[in-house]
Amino acid sequence: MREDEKLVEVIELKKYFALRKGLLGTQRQSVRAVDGISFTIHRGETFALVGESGCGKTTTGRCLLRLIEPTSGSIRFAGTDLLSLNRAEMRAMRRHMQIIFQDPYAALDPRMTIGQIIEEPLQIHRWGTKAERRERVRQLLAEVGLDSDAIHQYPHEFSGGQRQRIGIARALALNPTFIVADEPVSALDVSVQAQIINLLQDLQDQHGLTYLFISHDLAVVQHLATRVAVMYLGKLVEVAPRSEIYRHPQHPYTQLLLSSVPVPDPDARRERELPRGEIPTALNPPSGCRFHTRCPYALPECREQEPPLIEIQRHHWVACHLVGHNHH
Amino acid sequence: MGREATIHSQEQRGERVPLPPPRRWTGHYRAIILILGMLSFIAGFAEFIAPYDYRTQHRAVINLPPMPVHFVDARGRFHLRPFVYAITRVPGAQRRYAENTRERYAIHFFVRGEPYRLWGIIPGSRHLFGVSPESPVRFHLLGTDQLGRDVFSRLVYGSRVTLSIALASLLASLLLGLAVGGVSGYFGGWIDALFMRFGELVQSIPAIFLILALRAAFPLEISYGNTVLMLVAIFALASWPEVARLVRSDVLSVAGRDFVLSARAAGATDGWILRHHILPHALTPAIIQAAIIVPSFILGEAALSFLGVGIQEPQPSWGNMLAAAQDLTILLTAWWMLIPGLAIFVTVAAFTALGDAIRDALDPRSSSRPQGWG
Repeated sequence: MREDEKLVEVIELKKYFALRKGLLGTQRQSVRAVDGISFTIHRGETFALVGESGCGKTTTGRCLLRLIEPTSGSIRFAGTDLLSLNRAEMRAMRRHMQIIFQDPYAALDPRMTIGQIIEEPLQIHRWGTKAERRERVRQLLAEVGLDSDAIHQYPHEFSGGQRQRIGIARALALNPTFIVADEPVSALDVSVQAQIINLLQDLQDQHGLTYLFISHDLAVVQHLATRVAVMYLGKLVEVAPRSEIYRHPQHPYTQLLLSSVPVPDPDARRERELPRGEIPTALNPPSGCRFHTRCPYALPECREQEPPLIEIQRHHWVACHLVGHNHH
Repeated sequence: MGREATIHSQEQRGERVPLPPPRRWTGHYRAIILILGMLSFIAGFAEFIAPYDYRTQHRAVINLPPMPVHFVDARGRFHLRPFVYAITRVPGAQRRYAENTRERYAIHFFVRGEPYRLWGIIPGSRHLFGVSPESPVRFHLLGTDQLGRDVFSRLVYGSRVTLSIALASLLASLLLGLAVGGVSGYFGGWIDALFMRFGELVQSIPAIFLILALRAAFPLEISYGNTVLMLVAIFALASWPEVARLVRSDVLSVAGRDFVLSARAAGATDGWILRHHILPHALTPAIIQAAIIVPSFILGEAALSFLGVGIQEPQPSWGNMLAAAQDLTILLTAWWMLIPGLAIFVTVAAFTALGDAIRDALDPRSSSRPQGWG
């Protein structure tokens, strides 16, 4: 694997959603969904972004594809600064970067046939003749393991897993290099989840795809991630290779997330505590380290100073005062 | 298992209930379709169905009441082919007519008569029914007006004017409503505010005043073709807000869905997304809404023509035909001049029922929906 080739480089990405309050929208507040995160995705890897719901992982994924316009920061894709592109240039760029949605029921237009749904990206980019596009649709259906009879059927005639396959075929239509998979299996039955994950891995091997795999489930990520980034309230708290994060989780939040992964062994004993309390709101995030309100090891300084993301070992980045203490 | 139970079990499996298939049209819906189909046929083939041209004056028979159609003659003999008697004028100050039972003229189908050009192109001389052109009498099914013109023929030609204005207005209103509502809902912000407040302004003016005010914006004397265009423009301008509001709310509900985001991710332009994903979803309710306002177009045309600022003589429209009946003496002596009112009533009722029927058939919340789908 050409591990050092950077495909996506995100620097200080921020997305604030403005909330209007008051009669005339005078009082303005903003939700800091993504609050200054930086990371790099290498070509051919599966970069997993993990966190609880509301932590900003979906917003991050959508900002990367400019489906949501970031508030600030920069996104480089294959050397191109995406945020500097105009609308037409961005549309042309989209054939290289695609998205797979969490909800396979909402992601397919219920009024279109499967053939139309998969063909649409090809039509938009004026790919080939009508006959060539038809052939491509058949080929894509075969690739995701669906019968070509599906072409004339409508989304509601398919199960969740089948629909997710259709969504994957659509995402693959233009031969992208990068795919944002936004919780692609969390709406599916456990048995189907494995099939879809295997499919995603096979496709990655065949086409050399790079994934940003967004999930709230560390157990799912464990099977396919190259590296894992843990996100909490709009910030990255830990980024490390898969083996590192599962064997030596450094951030207390990562440890707590791991402890909440169900273990399929009734005799296994839980060693760590479960997270205390609810996730605070991104409308008014806690001062200092955002996790200090739930952290079992919080120090006084955690309340005041925000810990920077530092590399404690090669490729292992953590944002925690405690970890910093241990190493200095 | 009832409908509730079915939906419940699907939700438990994490599935959404699929869109219901269009409901089958039964019972009185067929009657509505039959009436509207017949009306369309009559309007479409007016030249063939009307026995005479709408301008032809039969000066010998002015204000003739509808002629009775007979099967049994004065001597009590039955005839398989219906016939009419010759008409003679009763001497006296008032115009009164009597049947001359000695002269019998059979009514034929597909008789030769006045030559015409169907839709102004195809020449022909056959008419659906009438008496032989060699006979000295003419058959006036619904009598004649004060200029001796055949009322039935004028009613038939009038249906073409009325229906084409109504349908063109429906189309224009739909297009305007889809465009404004689509742009408004999709782009939001100040465009939305501007369009919607303007629409509310239009809606806040009572329809008849609005229509008259718009009419005043056009010159009084204009050609027939321009009158039709003008009426369509007036009705479209007066009715688009109703369609646009509905389209806008539908667009708002669809615009945030993942499949729209998916199209954007695929590189679709705003125009593509509107055309392929958003407006198709808004189309059905928009058509229903437009169908519901069709009767108001028919009534509006009738009102303007009745007031003399719509379709002008000698072109017949149901409205200007009724205008002739506004005189009390005519009302008392020539009741058949009110027949266009009946035609308006039937057509308006049929369109209203059609709008309701489509809405019932497509609205999943409608109580008259059959159980057990999905």
